[in-house]
Amino acid sequence: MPTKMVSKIVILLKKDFLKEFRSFHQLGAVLAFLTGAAYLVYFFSRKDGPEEWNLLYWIVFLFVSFFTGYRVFEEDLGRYKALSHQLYDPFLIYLVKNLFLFILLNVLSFLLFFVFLILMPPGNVNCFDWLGLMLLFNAAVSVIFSFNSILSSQVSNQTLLFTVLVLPLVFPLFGAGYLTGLAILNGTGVFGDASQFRIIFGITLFAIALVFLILPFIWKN
Amino acid sequence: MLGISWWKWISVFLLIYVLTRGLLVPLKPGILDVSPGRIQSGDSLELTVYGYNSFYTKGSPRVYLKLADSFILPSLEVIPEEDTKLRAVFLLPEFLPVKQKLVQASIIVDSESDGSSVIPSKLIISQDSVNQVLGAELWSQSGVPVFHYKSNFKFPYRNILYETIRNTFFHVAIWFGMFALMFGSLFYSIKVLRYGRAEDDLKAYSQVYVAVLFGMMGLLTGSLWARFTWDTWWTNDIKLNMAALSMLIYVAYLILRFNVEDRDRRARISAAYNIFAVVAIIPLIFVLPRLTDSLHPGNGGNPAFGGEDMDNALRVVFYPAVLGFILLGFWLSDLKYRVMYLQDQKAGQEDNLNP
Repeated sequence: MPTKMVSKIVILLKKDFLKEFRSFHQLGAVLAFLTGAAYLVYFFSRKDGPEEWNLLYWIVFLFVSFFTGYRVFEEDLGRYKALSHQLYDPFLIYLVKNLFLFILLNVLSFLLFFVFLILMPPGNVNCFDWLGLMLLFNAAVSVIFSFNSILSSQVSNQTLLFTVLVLPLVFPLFGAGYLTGLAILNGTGVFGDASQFRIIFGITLFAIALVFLILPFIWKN
Repeated sequence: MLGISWWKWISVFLLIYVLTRGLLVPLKPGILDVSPGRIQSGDSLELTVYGYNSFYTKGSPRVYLKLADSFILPSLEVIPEEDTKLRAVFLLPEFLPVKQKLVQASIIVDSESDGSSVIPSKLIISQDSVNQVLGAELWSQSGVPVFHYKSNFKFPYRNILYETIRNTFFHVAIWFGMFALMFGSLFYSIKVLRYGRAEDDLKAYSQVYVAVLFGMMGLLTGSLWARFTWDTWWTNDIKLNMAALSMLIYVAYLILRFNVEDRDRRARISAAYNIFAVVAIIPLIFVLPRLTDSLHPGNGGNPAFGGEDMDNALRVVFYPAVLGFILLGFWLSDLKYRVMYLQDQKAGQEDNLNP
């Protein structure tokens, strides 16, 4: 049974990645966007202290994650509704969407990290600490984004609604991410002052538990 | 009529009590200001004290300077000029009982008619050379005086807050009402997801609607209070920002409802979001502000309703205010629910007549 489930997850995940990157131009466009955004903020700020670096990183990543997250359920609850509702377990679809968003956000956050690192070097950064922070942060963001994507995909003006629903929910998360990022850049590290890190960890667990409790009730249609 | 709506009568009674007692009970006497603000040790000092709600001409007041925890210097002479103004003459010893050359002293006024009042760290005393041992001898010669205590029922006088201390009964109590409504709506949202009844959805919505109204009033009364006490309409205080963020989450809930036309779907989606929103409020308002310093009591390590924050005279009005606003909130949400229910019924009848 678990093998069957894993193979289903792999198939659904593959479908999502194929749909997202069916041509390499798409991946190129993402890279170009990240490089362009990093260059623009560098060009206009002309500051390279850790605070500015960190702030710009999180602002750009907010936009990147937002545009990645809002449409994860766009087609699954639209064109492919029959497939989503009949051939697969809703839990499985949500789990895969979460995984897909989690992987994608991690790839994008690290691409952005390295683009920023090359264009605007902030000094010594502990990459492993940053990796830990982004893995945890993206886990929380992917859960919240994909849940709200389900909610907003069921109405007509979904982008606007997604923005309204998601921004107040993820704002404290981005605040905690910013403070932890600053601690890493200043050499304190993730576990030096772990209070913000614990907040992100708590929100992540909270969000996962809550979404998986509520999800079965909103899927009914 | 009284039988089924007894709690509404309690709400009316409590809020009338809060309005009358909360606004009419006077503050205890206090010290508004003193002049001059700075003095050299060894000099003679003529201190002018401006009182608030005081009766200096009646109770033969005594004035003291207080340094650190245990050093008190009585005035040589006190001349009450008005009920709210007096002059006190001191002869400051040559040395201070501290190691520093600059120190802040508190001023205490004590009288039979007013009891004792204090203005902390208001007078700066400087000394040219330090002799702590001699300073301690000179300052402790008079011993600790016995202060008068007045036991009449009055609200505490606090510098910075003054009369706005009464806002506690409205600003804080309204927030309590808001939280009660939010948790009430959580209960009905869970019922919506469990049983799918339209009435539960309307009840959850009406409670969120009034909770948002209370939240806005809480922000407004808080902002007015901040303008008076901190001289700004808004600060970077974490509690303020998290409260504003919570309101945004609930405004998002209202927008979500307006965007879904199908009733069943709207009920289910908004119930799910409401559960998410209430759970998000807990870390935003109750957890995050406690992890950092905040101007609000109960955050950054200071107690919420400890002895330093809440006087017993305030509690006598504050707790009824909390209960009164909670009941008022449920009353308003009940009215909103009934209006929406009737509108739904009317819309249903019209649909049946014009299929």
